Amino acid sequence: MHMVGKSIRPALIILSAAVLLGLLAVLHSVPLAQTPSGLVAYKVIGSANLANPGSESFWSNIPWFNVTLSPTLSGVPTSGLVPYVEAKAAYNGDYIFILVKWPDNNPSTIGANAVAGPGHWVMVYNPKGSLNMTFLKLLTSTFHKHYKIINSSYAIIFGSPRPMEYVLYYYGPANGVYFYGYYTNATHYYPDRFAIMWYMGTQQNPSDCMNIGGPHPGYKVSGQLGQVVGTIPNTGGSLSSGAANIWEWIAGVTYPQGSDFSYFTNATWDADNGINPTDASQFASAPHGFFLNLLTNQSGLFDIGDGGIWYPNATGPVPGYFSGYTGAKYENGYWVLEFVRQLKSPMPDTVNITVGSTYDIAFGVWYGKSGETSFDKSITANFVPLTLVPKQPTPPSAIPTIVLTVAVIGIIIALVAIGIAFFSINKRRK
Amino acid sequence: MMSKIPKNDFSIYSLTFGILFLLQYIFREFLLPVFPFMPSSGANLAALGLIGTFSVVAMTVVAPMVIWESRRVMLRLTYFAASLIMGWGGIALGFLYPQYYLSTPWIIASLALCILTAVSILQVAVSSIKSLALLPLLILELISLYQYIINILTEYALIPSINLSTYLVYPSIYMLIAGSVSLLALSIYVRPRRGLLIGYLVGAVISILLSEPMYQLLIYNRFMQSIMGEVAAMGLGILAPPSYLPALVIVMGIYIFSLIALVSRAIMGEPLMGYYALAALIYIGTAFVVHALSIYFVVTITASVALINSLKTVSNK
Repeated sequence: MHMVGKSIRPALIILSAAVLLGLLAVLHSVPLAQTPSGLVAYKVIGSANLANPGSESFWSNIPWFNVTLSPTLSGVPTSGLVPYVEAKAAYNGDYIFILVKWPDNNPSTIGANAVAGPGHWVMVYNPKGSLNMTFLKLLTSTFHKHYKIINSSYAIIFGSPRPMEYVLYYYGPANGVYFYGYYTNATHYYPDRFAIMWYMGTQQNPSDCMNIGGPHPGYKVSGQLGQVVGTIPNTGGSLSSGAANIWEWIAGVTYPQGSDFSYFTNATWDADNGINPTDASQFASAPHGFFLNLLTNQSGLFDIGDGGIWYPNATGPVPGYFSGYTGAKYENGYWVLEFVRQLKSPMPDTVNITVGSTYDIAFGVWYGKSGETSFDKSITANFVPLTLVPKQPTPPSAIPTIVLTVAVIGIIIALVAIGIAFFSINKRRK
Repeated sequence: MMSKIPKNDFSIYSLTFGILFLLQYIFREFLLPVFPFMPSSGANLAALGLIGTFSVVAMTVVAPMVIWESRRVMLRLTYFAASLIMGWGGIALGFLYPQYYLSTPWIIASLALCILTAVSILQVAVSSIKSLALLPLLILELISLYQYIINILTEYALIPSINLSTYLVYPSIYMLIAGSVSLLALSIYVRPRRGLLIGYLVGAVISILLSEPMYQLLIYNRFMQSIMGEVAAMGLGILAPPSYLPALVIVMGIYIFSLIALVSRAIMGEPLMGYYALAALIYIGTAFVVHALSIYFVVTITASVALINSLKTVSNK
């Protein structure tokens, strides 16, 4: 090392300083130097217009941000069909607004006359030849489901219990029965859905991917299939680390134009299903688009504020079931949704939002008419940081697009010129 | 030009810097997001995460020194000042005004740091014909910096911009794969000597021991592909269909072999190759990360500057 000799002393001092400061940072949790990144929610004046989401004047100052989505299931033809979501965020002191839009050429605007949607019919196939009938029979008989052969390579299973999803997804391909997606036709299809996950745990940047699994942790698969599969470690829909609050909008179900929306405007039905009766009668008298609150943690996926309409209930009847608002419209090939909620947590197990904080959020989207439902969807592969800044959006509207374009081209030309200059100077030096 | 063994040496700062980056990469960047997948309890892993924090702070000391001693590089003082201001300035402001990173001056400074990083990458590209061996990785870095700039322009400067991120997922993977091939070519394009062959052997053994079992585990097992696909997305930031995972494991093996081969060439009297290894390691390690810390820009500048300095030293001998 050429450092040895007269310059050894400064090097030793610098390296000791590095070690000392490093240790100090470890012992006293020094804040590391940060750079801004992710989505920003700006402070705005105004309130939401649920009848026409995105039309509020404050949105015009905030541009769309593109978030890339990826499939939840690898190698499954129907998974990950939604390529991206565009998003913006704002808050007005009491409420947060999250506006999203995504392309959908074949929207599922109304549900299928049942809150839980139509039966989840699994489509299986073998891309490499004929279906392995022995395995298909073993699989369906273990979980007591009927199936129908379409042709030698395709079949439908009538029903989709969680442990079967697990076995099919992880053990099917090795046994000649692949998961294709959920069966759809002109009348049997699933509602379009959109979900925002708010991470509430303490880990930094954990996995936002929910586990594929059984009805509870450590579920044992019975019979001959059980000898191969054994115990399923996780609950389906559970999170690997920490807990998260999910805001879920379901076309038809939580959307005033859907046929299933009427379930919720019936106060008696609500009370029977474990929703707070006062909330139910208030909602019945003045219904609005809303979103469901779900809780996911290491032990499973739960409904918040009802008796367990979709998943087991986390809380039972608590006030605030209809406290989340969602406006929706389908326009020019895009769904546009606006999620509105008070900043303060309205129910137990829901996220409490404060100004100046950064939240890890994730999006999940389902194309119901293309066979995406349940665990088959498109998600953001990583959490996106969302920060609420105590600032109003002041766009540099003074800069016209043409000036901006010229400036960008100018910078590129300048960089190329610098590069050429470097290169020629280099050559001359040689 | 390369007839004599050049006199420039792999400096003690660069060596320390490389080791610290590796520690940071393993114990912070990779480990923290994959906590949930680990069999060990959170408490043990949190302790390991502290090694990453230590490395980041120690790098904030060492990186400016690497830039300082790279005397042949244009804009050296600009890079040096940027590394000090954005590194130590950020830490100091963290105590005084925790919201500093959302303030307009800091946003502009972050944007400037990002552009400076891009300039340092372009400087590498034009400094020598040999540095074209890193071209795929340089493009990968530019893609990553482009995405950061778009993020800041839309969200913080409120300028609507065309965001191509959805279309850049596959180009990024292909640049990563192409980078492994060109780095491999660079690492073995030399007249073989006995000492080098030992280095190659060590590299081959380590890379095969790491990637071959992983490849066997993944090639016919979709369950493991899915799990490792998540690990790649969370831990490394690489978005890839799980069916790509066996191929990516081979790419990882090629990188490990090439880096060890380059390091052994550095030990055998070609320090320039050590700087190539350092730059390649840091480009792969920062291109896929969310640039939420200033250090990710600073280390990229540092690696570029050290490589340019070494290239100029060699060509001037």
